Amino acid sequence: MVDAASACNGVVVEPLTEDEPTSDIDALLNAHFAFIWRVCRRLGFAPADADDAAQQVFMIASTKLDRIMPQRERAFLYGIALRVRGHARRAERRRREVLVEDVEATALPSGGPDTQAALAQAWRLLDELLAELPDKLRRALVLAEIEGLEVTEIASFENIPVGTASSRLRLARERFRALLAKHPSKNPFGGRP
Amino acid sequence: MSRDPLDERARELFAAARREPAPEAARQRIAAALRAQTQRPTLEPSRLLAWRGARVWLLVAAAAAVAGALFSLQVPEHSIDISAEALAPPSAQRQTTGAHTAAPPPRSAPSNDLGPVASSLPAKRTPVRTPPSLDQELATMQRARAALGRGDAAAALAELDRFGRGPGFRQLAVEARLLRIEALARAGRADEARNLARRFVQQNPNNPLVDRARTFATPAASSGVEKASEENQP
Repeated sequence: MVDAASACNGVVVEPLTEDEPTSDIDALLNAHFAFIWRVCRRLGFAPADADDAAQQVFMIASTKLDRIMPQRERAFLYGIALRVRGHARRAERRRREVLVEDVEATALPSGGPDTQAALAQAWRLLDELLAELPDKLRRALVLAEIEGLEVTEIASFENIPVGTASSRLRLARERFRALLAKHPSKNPFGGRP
Repeated sequence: MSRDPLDERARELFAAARREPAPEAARQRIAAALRAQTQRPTLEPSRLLAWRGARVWLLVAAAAAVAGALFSLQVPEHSIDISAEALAPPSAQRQTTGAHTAAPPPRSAPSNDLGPVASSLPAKRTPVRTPPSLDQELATMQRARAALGRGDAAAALAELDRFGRGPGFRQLAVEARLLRIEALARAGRADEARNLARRFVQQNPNNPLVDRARTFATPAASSGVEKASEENQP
């Protein structure tokens, strides 16, 4: 499932540059809250826990504003999120990833009941499948497929070579597809290729 | 970037994930918590004066308690405790209950709105000593590495002890422990290095640095010194 320690230790200190550091935590919150919350969700936090985890991320970030460089805000916050997640995982000793009632506690977007039910089912299935992946592959997949990051950006976020990021992403996609094929009946968007 | 081998069904799942709304209420709660955190350390001038006045009275009370204890042939234990507490720094006094301290109430902080996460954050507690900043930790680590690089293990250990009995390294705690192991080994304190290395391996089995620590956990720690010192070079 998740290697919390390696996730935590994957975070590195951002190198200092000559640019001025970011100074406005409110601007960071407004710009990156949704990203951090989604990352927390897809990395295994239940909705309510994702709220708390996101709060921890920004509370920590508010004490490190002088370390956050322009254009590196998301990567910095992502690193903090991994640390927060690592601490949470160690504290709870690998409890079950996401419970059904947790997913249903999420505020649903507008749409008909069918749409909402399909979305809730999709989130549940996605969480189940992501939980089956090794943590490194899971993170690569989340960053690429949900957050739309390019391989070079994933490499930067994870502090790994681009080739490694590309390899992880390719492997993650292969495994995810294989996992999805095992649960055709759970997929609200069609079970057959 | 190649999109294969994901198919349309998988992509729809990920698209659904992008549609999961990040709760606005949570964002607002975090914004409120951040504002509260920003405002907490400051005191209004009138409250600051009141606080300073309270400190004077505390010192007077402490002095009276100490004097009374000295003049008395029988020194009750509780008077020692009270004196020590009263003489403690203000930050420590704020951690005590308000039964016999005259500390003013903290500024109105919406603590009830912070939720469980904020209530567990270190920022809500008043530390006895200010923890080192990341910059301080980095600078100390660099000085320790430099000292070790020129063969001065004692100086490296002195740097690593810079934070004394305070909160110590926080963000670079693991790296600092590994460097301390190496410095101990180079200082000829092989037993201490070995014991510390073993604890490191036990407590951080998944840490990327654990392999380096293992080189010090065996009796042949001297070979580990050579290897680790090579790896430690920038």
